[in-house]
Amino acid sequence: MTQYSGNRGLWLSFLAAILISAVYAIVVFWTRAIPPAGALFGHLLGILGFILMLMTEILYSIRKRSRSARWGSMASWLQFHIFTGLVGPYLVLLHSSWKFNGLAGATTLLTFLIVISGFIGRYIYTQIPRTLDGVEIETPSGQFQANSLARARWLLAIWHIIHIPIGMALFTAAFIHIGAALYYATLLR
Amino acid sequence: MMKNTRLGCFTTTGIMAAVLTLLIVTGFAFASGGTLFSPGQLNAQVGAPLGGVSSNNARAGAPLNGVSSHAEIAGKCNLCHVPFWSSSTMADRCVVCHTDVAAQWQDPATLHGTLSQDNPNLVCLNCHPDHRGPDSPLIDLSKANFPHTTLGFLLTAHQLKSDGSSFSCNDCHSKVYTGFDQNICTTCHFQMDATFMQNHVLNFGIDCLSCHDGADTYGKYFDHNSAPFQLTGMHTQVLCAQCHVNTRTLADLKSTPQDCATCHGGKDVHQGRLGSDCGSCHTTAGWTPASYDHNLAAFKLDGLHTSVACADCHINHVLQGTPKDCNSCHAIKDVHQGRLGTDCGSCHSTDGWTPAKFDHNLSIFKLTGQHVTVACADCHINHVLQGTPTNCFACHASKDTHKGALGTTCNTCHNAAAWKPAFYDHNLSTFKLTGQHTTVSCLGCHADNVFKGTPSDCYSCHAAKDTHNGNLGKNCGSCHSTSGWAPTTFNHNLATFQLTGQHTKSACTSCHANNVFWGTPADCSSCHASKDTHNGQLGSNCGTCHSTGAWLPATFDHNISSFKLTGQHVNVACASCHNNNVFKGTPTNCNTCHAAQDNHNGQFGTNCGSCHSTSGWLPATFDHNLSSFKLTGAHTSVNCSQCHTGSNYSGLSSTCAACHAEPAGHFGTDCAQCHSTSNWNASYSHTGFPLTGAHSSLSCTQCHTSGSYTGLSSTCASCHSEPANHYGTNCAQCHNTSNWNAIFNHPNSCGEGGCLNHHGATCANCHPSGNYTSSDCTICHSNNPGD
Repeated sequence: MTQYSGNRGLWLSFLAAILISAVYAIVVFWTRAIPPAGALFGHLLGILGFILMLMTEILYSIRKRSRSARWGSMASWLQFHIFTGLVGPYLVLLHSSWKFNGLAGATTLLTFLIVISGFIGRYIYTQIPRTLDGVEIETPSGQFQANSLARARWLLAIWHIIHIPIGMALFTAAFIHIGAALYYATLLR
Repeated sequence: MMKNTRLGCFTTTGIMAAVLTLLIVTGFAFASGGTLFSPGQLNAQVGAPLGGVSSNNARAGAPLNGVSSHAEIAGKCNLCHVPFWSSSTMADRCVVCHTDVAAQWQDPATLHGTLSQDNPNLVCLNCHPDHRGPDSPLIDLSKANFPHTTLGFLLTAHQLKSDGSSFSCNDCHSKVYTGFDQNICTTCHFQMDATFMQNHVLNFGIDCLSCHDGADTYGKYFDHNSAPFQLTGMHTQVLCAQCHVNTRTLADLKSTPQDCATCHGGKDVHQGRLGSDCGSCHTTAGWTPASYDHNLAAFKLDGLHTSVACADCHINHVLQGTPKDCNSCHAIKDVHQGRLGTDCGSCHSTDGWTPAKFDHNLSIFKLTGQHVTVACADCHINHVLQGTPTNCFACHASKDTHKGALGTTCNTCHNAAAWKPAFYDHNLSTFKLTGQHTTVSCLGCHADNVFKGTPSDCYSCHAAKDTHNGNLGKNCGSCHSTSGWAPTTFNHNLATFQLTGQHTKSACTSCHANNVFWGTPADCSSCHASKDTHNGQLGSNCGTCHSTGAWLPATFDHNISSFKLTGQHVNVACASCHNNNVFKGTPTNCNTCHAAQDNHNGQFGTNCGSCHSTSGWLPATFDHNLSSFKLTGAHTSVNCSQCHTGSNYSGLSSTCAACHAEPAGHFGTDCAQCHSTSNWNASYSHTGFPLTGAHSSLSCTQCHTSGSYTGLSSTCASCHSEPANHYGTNCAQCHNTSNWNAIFNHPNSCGEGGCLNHHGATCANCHPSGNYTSSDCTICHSNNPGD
C-alpha cells in the first residue's frame, strides 16, 4: 500500500509529462518552430510550471506544519508534492525554449538541481517508517531498525540543509526573472 | 514536538541562500548590464536610405548621439528602459535620440504625424520592436493596427491573397513600407487572371493607381449602377473598353460620354434622320424590337390612322418632316374637290369618312327655325357650299309679298320660325310710336301702304288741324305731346325769354298782345317803359338794377360804374353824391364832394386820395419823398408839425436854417456842409486849407478868431507873425507843419559853390537890413571882377 501510493505520484507525473509533450509536439508541428518563451504558449508553460512549483513547496509545507487542520493524509499530499514537483519543472523546461543562458538559464539549472535533490530526498524519506497518515513512527522495534532510522534521519537532516537553500535560491531567481519579464516585456517599461 | 508554523523553506540556510542569490543576481546585473535577463540581441542595422517623402530615414546611416545602431548600446538598458518609479515612458527615451521623429509626430503631413493623429495612444514600440536579433526588421506592423485607410489606400479588397492567406505588408511593399511599386499590382494580378489583366492593361494602361485610387470603388466589385450611367440589358455584356476607350485615369472613366450616339453613331441605320437619341425608340434589351410611340410625336395616331401602314404617310421611309395637315395625304381623295378647304378634320374624324358632321352653327349662317329642316341643296345650289349668300332675299326674293317695298331684310319683321306672325317694331324705326300714335292705323300715316319716305315732322300729318293758324310754328311737339292735344304745356323757359319772378305770374296777354307770340321783344323797356321812375336816366335795361322778383329792392352795383365804391363810400347814401336823383354826369374827383371838408385849406391841392383813402380821413399817408424835400435820416421820424408849424405845408423853405438856428459862434447856416440827416455829429474836412502836422491838432478858434470861418487868408503870415530880423513872411520856405525847426539850404547864387562854405560869412554879412530876397556882394567885394 505504501509502495503503491509512493509510485502513484510518479505515474501520474509520467502521464502528465506525456500529455504535455504531446501538446508541445502539436504546437511545434503546427507553428513549425520551437515555442518561444515570450509567446502565448511559451508563457502559458512558464506560468503553469511556476504555479505548480510554488504549490509544490508551499501547500505541502503548510500541510506538514498544520496539525490542527488535516486536509487529506500526508501521504496523499506527498504524492501531490511529487506530482507538482515533477510536472512543474517539466513545464518550466519546455518554457525555456531550450535556451539556457542568463538568469533564466541559471533558474532552469536550479530547477534541475531541486528536482534531483527531491528525488534523493524522497528515497531518504522512504527509509523512515510512518503511519498510514504519514506520521513518523517514533519508536521502532529492533536495534537495526533503530540504527537505520537514526541514519536515515541524519541523512534527511543533511538533505534538508542542501535542498531548502537550493529551493530558496531557485525561487529568488525565478521571482527576479518573472519581475524582469513583467517589467520589460509586459509593462514594456 | 515543537510547534512550527513557519513555511519549511524559511530556514536559516534557506533565507541565506535567497539573500545570496539576490546578491549574486544583483551583482551580475550590475556587471553584465542587463544581459543577465537574456533580452535578445539588439538590432545592428545601420539603416539604408529608404527613399519616400514621409520617410524618417533621410538621415540614414548618420549616427545619432554618436550611435549608429541599437546594438551599440547593448547592455545600457536605461537608455531605453525607464525605472519603475519614473513617470516617463520608453517612447520618451526614444525621442531623446530620434528628435527628427519627435518633430514628425506633430506634423500630420508626415507618416508619423498621420499615425499619431489616427491613434494618439500609438507609441514607437508598436511598430519598432527590438531585441529580436541584429538583422531582424526595424519595422514590425504585425502587432500594430496600421491605419492604412488614413494613409489614402483602403485595404478592403486586399484582405486575403488569392491563395486564401492574409496579406502581409511586404506582399505589396517589397522594399520599404513608405514606397510602393505598381509593378507589384500587375505581377500579382497577372498571376490571378492573366487573360483579364492582359486586356485590362491593354485597355487601361499600367498606371493602376490612376483609377484604383485606394477608395476601393473601382475594383472587382465595382457596381456600375452606382455610377450615373447604369448598365442594363445588352449594356451589361459589353466589355468596359468598348465604351471606355483610351481611358487612362479616373477622370477619363468619369467623363466617358453617356449619350447613345457617341458609341452607336456609326451604326445608325436611320442615317441620322431620327436624331441621336436612340433610347427614345430602342431599349438596351436589343435594337429590335424598337417601339415608337407615335403619340409622342406631334402627330398622334387615332382611329383609322392607327391601322395605316407607316409607309402610307412616310413615303420612302422618311420619318422626319412628314406634313401633319389632312390635305397632304388626303388631297387626291377629296370628293369635295377642294371646295371645302383642306381641313378635312373640321367635318370628318379619323374613325371614317362617313359619317361626316357639319355643324352649320359653326358657320357664319346659323340654322334656326324652319331653316333647320330645309334640304342643304335648297340653299346650296349644285352642292356648292362655299360662297352661299347669307342675306334673306338671296333665297326669298321670289316670295316677297311686299314686292320689295320693305327692303330685302325679311328678318326685320319675320323670323326663321315662320313667315307669320310677323312683327314690326316701329320703335326700331327713326319715328318711335308713343301715346295716341300707337293706336293710329298704319294707313293713317302710311297712305297707300307706302312706308318708306314717310315724313316724321308733326305738321306733315297735323297741318290741317292747327288751331294756332301757324302762329306757333310747325313743331306741335314743342307744346303738345302724343298723349293728346290737351293739356298743352308750353315751357316758356325753352323760349329765348325765360320767365322768372313776377313774370311767371303775368298773363300771357300782358306781353303777347293779340295772341301774337312770335316776335315779342325781350328787352325790359318794351313792356316797362311807361313805368320808368328814372325818366330814362338809367337807360332802358331795368335788369341792371331790378330783378323780376320785384321792383324793390333794386340793387345797383356801383362797382360796375367808372366810380367804384370802397371804404366809407360804400355806406354813404346815394343822394349824398347824387343830388336830386341825378346819377349821370356825377363828377368823380374828390374835391367835388369834399371841398367843404378840406382841413388843409386847399394847400395840398384837390386830390385828397394822394394822402387819404376811402377807409377814413385818418390815418392819412403822405409820401414826403414825392415832394421837393425828401426826408432822410432823422427827418423821417420828425413830427410833421415840427417843421410845418401853424399847419403850413406849402412854401416852406428847404434850407437848413429854416428849421435849424445856427448856434452862437458856429460855422454858418449851411448845416449840410458838415452835418447829415443821419449823423448830426459834424465832420468837417478842412479841404480848402488841408491840415497837416501841427495844424491838425490845433483848435478851430486858434486860427478862426472872431468866429469867422470864411475868407480867412491861407498865408502863413495871417497866423504866424514874423519875428524881428527874420527871413520874410513865407514861413514855408524854411518851416513845415511837421517841423518848425527851420532848415535853409542856401541857393547857389554866386556860381562859386555854396556861398556859406565859400564865404564863411554870417547871413547879415550879405543880407544887411533884413533883405533876404537879394544879396549885395559889393559890400565885401568891389565891382572889380579881378578882386
